[in-house]
This record gives sequence, structure tokens and C-alpha cells, in this order.
Amino acid sequence: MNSPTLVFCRKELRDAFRNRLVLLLIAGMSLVVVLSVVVAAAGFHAKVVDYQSYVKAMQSAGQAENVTAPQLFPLQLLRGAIEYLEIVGSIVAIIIGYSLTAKEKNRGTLRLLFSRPVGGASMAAGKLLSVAVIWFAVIVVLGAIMLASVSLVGGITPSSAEVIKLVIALAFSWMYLMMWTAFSYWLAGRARRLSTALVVGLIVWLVVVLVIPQIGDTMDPDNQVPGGLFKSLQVDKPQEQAVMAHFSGYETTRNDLENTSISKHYERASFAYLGIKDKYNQQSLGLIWRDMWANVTWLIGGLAAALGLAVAYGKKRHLLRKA
Amino acid sequence: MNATRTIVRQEIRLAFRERLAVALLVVFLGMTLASAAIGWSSHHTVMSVYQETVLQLGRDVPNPFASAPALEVVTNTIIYIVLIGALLAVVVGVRAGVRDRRSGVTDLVLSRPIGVRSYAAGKLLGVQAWMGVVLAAALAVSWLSVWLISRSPLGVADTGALVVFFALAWIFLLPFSVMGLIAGTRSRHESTALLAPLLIWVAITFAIPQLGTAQNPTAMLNPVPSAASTTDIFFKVNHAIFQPISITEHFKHMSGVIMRLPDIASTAWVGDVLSLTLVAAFSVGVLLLTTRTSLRRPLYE
Amino acid sequence: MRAAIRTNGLTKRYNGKAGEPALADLSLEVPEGEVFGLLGHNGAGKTTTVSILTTLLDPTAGSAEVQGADVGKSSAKVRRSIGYLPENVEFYDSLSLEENLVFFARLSGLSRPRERIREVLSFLDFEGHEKERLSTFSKGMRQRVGIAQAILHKPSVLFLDEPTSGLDPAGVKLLRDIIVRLNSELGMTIFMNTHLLAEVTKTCTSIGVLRAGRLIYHDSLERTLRSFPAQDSLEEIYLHIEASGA
Ligand SMILES: Nc1ncnc2c1ncn2[C@@H]1O[C@H](COP(=O)(O)OP(=O)(O)OP(=O)(O)O)[C@@H](O)[C@H]1O
Ligand SMILES: [Mg+2]
Repeated sequence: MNSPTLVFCRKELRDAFRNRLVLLLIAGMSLVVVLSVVVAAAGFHAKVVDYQSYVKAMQSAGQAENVTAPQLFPLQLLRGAIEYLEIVGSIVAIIIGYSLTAKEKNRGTLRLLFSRPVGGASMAAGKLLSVAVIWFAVIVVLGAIMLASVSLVGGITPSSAEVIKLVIALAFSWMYLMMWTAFSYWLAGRARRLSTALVVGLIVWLVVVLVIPQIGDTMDPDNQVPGGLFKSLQVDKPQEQAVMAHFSGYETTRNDLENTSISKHYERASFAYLGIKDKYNQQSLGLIWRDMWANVTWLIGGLAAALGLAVAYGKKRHLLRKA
Repeated sequence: MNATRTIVRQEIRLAFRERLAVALLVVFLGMTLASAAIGWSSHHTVMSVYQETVLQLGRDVPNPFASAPALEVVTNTIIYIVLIGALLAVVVGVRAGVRDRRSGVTDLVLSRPIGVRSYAAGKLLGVQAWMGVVLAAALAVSWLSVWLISRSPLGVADTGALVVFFALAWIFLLPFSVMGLIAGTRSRHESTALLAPLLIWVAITFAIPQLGTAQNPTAMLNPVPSAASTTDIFFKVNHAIFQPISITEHFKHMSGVIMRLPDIASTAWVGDVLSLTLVAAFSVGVLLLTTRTSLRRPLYE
Repeated sequence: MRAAIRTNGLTKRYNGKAGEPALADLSLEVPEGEVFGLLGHNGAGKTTTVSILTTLLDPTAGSAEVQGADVGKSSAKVRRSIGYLPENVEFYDSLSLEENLVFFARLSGLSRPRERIREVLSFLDFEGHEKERLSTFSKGMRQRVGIAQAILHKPSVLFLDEPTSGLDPAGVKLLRDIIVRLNSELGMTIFMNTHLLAEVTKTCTSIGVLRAGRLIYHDSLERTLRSFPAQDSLEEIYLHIEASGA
């Protein structure tokens, strides 16, 4: 690692701690994520209370309890947290990536920086490195809070297998946030008018994070009827699969559409490892990996592409283009 | 009044020449069209799934779509208004607010005999007139696509419902235009002007509803709103606090009532209308508090 | 002769700025029909003065009148009688010349502006560009757009903030001629901020000098040139005044 990169990185880290906007955004994002864990926990708590009072009522009526207690899989409480990282985290990442370039462009310091004898890519590398550090710290803190609140509410300590799965999901989150930051860094470097870069970034965010997954979701036949189509048809799972076998073309199209959204890959992979998707709950790492490697590859590919763009197009001749 | 009209006309003309505004208009119309296409294909599939099920089971089950309303196929438009429409309103509002400050025209306007309130009102009407153009175009696209899909034009009642729905969308988007304008006319940086309303939108759409209903954020993307799910006091209190400003939830619910979607309680709509109009009126009130000094603040990128 | 502009103890202190005010105790009278040049170093307070007189800025203390109307109490009346060209204004690039002018004319209350726009453009010798978008205009052309928008509504007092800054020599001469004609042919009182002393000699009838917010000199051009026989150009006179604070 050449030293100008580290110089840039250190300066960015110092900057980030003095930048109210960045701190505020990260705090806000962390707040909704933590809040969602708390809300999920409160929701679970309410279920437990309902169940207990039901049991009590049954007992006082002299009947044996015939309801199973609600089962707690602590990692499943993180569903909202992952979705917030997917939606809000990505937009915060976009803003941070944008501000990395924007502040130099606004202050007119870009020329100054490039008049120093530093390698072409060292600015981009240094800045991205600093973001990598920041996101790592954020993820570690969030992970610790998740672990703590989940075990406090459940009254159980997550098993080591669960901790490993959580760490894997957090690593995905880190990659996902890094990818958006690098992407938006690249955009802001290319744009002639900075605010246009921001708007374009927002449109891409809208389409990738919200619109495509939403389309995929609403195309799901089961989601067409409130409560689920197959439930309303009184059809069980094997029958459902038999029926849906006739619609594989439609399902493939739907799947392909969802595959164009990198957010969906992040979501699927994280949901699988956290057991939020029932199919993978309490399953072995090997089994999950067998199904998820493609999604993980997409995520890594997306990150590599964004980083590549940011570094390759972050050189002097790109950034100092005449406006 | 005359001056206001002049500003309104100016804003519309400028919006049509702004590449970004036009690009967003195209995206929005594209999504309206896509919404119809998606509605059609999934409707079609569900009907086939139903027939296939009946065939395989060899017994009769009730058709879940037998009583589906005609506007069912365009329900996704509700979500696109919450997502793309709101972003469009914010961006157009910010650009309208920032434009005169950026070009130095503000001083020229303020040295003419026109009050700062007529100026602000003119800007807002201009932006909302542009949003009106966008929504009217979307209305036409929706109407035509329903005609194409169901092979018969919508009846008077359904057409009326569609018109009312887009009118409601206009009111729903008003606070977003206003937020864009306020941020555009006051903030020191153009990027902050964009970010501030955007973050408020994210909060209203994704963060606040969870506090009242324990929903996951992606549930907001479902056109059919889910009701408060638990009886827990935590949610009851939050629901009471945050319900009035959860305008996206109100808009979704009210739209469901207008489109006569199944499983929508059609009783609570007074609260929706009240909340939507109050928030809109409040935002306009704040906008009219704009002063000459705030307009003349310097602007950086 | 009636005063077109009159200020009394006009003072402006910007919020949060300690020390000397940007403009201190300015008392000044500019009679109708004058071309008044306000001189001063960067930051002397020229733009501040014009901003107050055009009702854009409220003074901290003192009062000012334009055509007998107070800039604070009857600001709407003041705005009806003035034209203003700020420094570095850019207008709407995506609109044509005519569309820009129609907008400003309407804001000034003209209901049928096109006729008047033709008249003004012919006065400025600037016809034939009506349908062109401003994004294609040079700095010199833009400055004429600026003059055009400022005189559309036939104001009796015209405020120009460094009108020749950034223009090439030909552009400067063109603008200078326009200013002189606005004054002599249309009878407008002109209040102009400037650094360029050559301009002042050729266009102004009286001058004032601001230094650090204080008016340190005010007299007619003619008398100024006469009372400093030792200096052989206005430039030297200005530097002399600036240095001595006469
Ligand atoms: N908006 C403002 N806020 C705070 N201080 C200001 C503001 N505008 C001007 N000033 C200060 O007031 C003083 C006078 O400024 P002004 O712009 O009137 O000077 P000027 O004579 O027009 O200078 P120039 O020749 O550079 O245009 C300066 O010290 C300036 O820094
Ligand atoms: Mg000045």
C-alpha cells in the first residue's frame, strides 16, 4: 500500500468525524435498524404475553393446554434490520459516496490535490479505504447491538452456529454498503453538475432497491390475494408445487427480473443465512451455501464492479474534465 | 395575482425545458405503463393458476378473483406515486426553489413590485401544475391500458374513481413539492436541499409506519396496507402518535377505498382525507412564511 | 432640482459581523437627471448601498428615499419606479431572449409586453436575437439583456452594479454609450457602482467615494477634476482621495 493512499484515508477519517451530515446519517440509519430489532422484539413479546394469558384462561377453565408456545428463532427478529440496511443503508451509502467527491469539487481543492505528486488512483483508493473502515466499524457496532438485544429479549444466548451466521450476514451487509458508496463515488466524479449526480444516484437507487423487488413481489401469484392465493384456494404445499409447475415460464421471468436487482441478491443471501426464509432456518452452512452461492457471487461481483469503476475513473484526467 | 400567474407560467415552461424533470416524467409514465402490464400478466396468471387448481383437485373452490374490481390491474400505480411521484415532486420543487438563486434572478424579481408570498405561491402553483400535467398523463395511460387489458372501456363510475384517485395523488404529492421548494429556497447547498426532503420522505414512508404497526419496511411496498397487527400498548401509543403524519399509509388506504380493492375497510377514510389535507395545508403555511432575507441567502453547490 | 435618491444616516451591519458596519452613516443626495458613480475598493460597501436602495436589504439604521418614497415603508412604490441590474446575473439559460424579457416585463406589471420589448431592443440596437436561447449568448450580449430587463417598464431611476465588469473594450464602449443615451434621451437618473475610473470620466456627472463603509467624498465630476489640478487623471484623484480621506 503506497503512502499517499494512507494519507488520503487518514484525512477522510478525520473529516468524517467532523462532518455533521455524515455522522447524522449514520446515526439515523443505525437508529432505524436498532429500532426495528426492538420493535420486532416487542412484537414477539406481545405474542408471548397473548399466549400466556390464553394458557391461563384455558387452565382456569379446566382445560389442558393444546396450543404450542410461539417459537423464538432469535435471528429471525433481524428481518426488519436487514430490510432497513437494504433500503435506508443504501441511500446513506449513496450520500456518503457522493459527498466524498462533492466536497473536493465544491471547495475547489481537487486541482490542489492533483497538483501534488500522487499516483492517479491513490485518491480514490484512499477515500474508499476510509469508507471501508467506517462501514466496518458501523457494522461491528450494529452487530453487537443486534446480538445483545436479541439475546436479552429471548432470554437465550444464541448458539455459536447462529453467531457465525450472523457474522456472515453482517459481512454481506458490509459488501452491500461498500458497493453503493463506491458506485455513487464514481457517479459524482463523472457528473458535470453535482446535483445531477445525486439525482441520478437516487433514481438508480429507486429502481434497484424499491421498484424491481416490488414488481417481483407483486408478480408472485401467491401475493395477489390478501392472505395468500393458495390458502384461499385451500391448497397445500405439494399441491401448490404441482400447480405451479405448469407456470415455470412465468416464474422464470419473475425470477430473472428479481435477479437484475443486486439488492434482491443481498436480501436473499442474508435471509437464508439468518433463517428468515423458513426453508433455511436451522439448516447447515453447507446446505445454505449450496443454494446461495449464486446470490453471493452476484453481490461480490457488484462490489468488485463498483470499486473497479470508482478507482478506474477516479483519476486526474477524469475528475478534472472541464465542466 | 397577476404576478403569481406570471411565475406559474414561467415555472411550467422551465420545467418542460429541464432535462431532468422531463426524464422523470418519462420514467413515471413508463412505470404507469409497466404497472398495467404487470397487473395484466399477474392477473392472467392467477386466473390460470385457479383453473389449473380446479382441474387438478377435481373439486370446486371459490374463484378468488370473481369479484375483483376493474381497477385492480392498476393498483401498482399507488406504489409508484408513493415512490417515483414523491421523488419527482421533491426534485422539481428543489430545482424550482434553487434556480433563481443560482442564476442571480432572485434579486431581479425582488426588486420588482411583487410580494414574496405571491412569488412563493407562484412557484408552488407552477410546480404543482407540472405535477398535474404528469398525473393527467398517467391518468390517460392508465385508462387506456385498462381498456386494452379488459377489452372494454372503463364505465363512468370506474373512470370517476380513477380521476378521484389521481386528484388524491395530487394532494398527496403537494407536501413533497413544498418540502422541495422550502429546501430549495432556503438551504445553503443544493445537495442539502435535495437530501433533506428525501430523508424526510424515507422516514415517513419506511421508518415511521413500523413504530405503529410492527411492519417490516418492505411491507410499505405492498399496495394493500396492513393494519396495526398487535394489541400491545407499545404499538397502540406509537400508532396514535405517528398516525397523523404517516401520509403514505393514509394515501395507500384511501386509494384502496377509491379503487374498491378487497379487504380494505372503507370506513376510516375520513381520517385519511383529514390527515392528507392537514399536512398539505400545514406545509403550504410554512412555505408562505418565506422571507426576502431567506431567499437572498447565498447558494453553493 | 428634486432629489431622485436621498439617504439619511444610512447604516448597515450584517448579522454576526462584529467591528465596523459594512455601511456607516451614509447621507447622500442624488438629484434627478444625474449619472452618479459610486466608487470604492472591494468590500467598501457599494453593493450594500445599492441593495438597500433597491429594497433588497433592510438598513440597520437611518432611512432612504427613492423618488420621494421610503425604501422601508413604501417599498412597493420604490420598486415600481426603479430598474436594477445586479452584478453577475445569469437569467434563464433555457429560455429565449424574448421569453426572458416577457417574464420580467410581466413581473413589473406590463400587460402587453411584446410591443415594448421590440421598442427596447431597437433602442439597444439588439434586434434579431429574440428567439435565441440565452445559453448561446456571450457575456456582452447578456449584459445587454440585463439592461433591457432593467428598462422595460420605463423606470425613472436605474441602478447598475459594476455594469462593465468582465466586458472586453468594445463591450465596455457599447455599454457606456447606452448608459449615456439612457440618461440624455430617456432622462433616467442613473446610480452606478464601479471600479473603472475611465468609465466614470466618460459617463458620470457626479461621483462619490466610499471607504470602509463611509462616504469620504461627494461632488460633481466637473468640480472634482478642477479641484485637483495637481493630479492629471481621475485615477490619481481617486487614489489621492482614498489615501488622504479628504
Ligand atoms: N451577506 C453578507 N453577510 C455578511 N457580510 C457581508 C454580506 N455582504 C457583504 N458583506 C460585507 O460587507 C462589506 C461590504 O460589502 P459590499 O458587497 O457592499 O462591498 P462592495 O463595495 O460592493 O465590494 P466589491 O467591489 O467587492 O463588490 C464587506 O466587508 C463584505 O464582506
Ligand atoms: Mg459589489
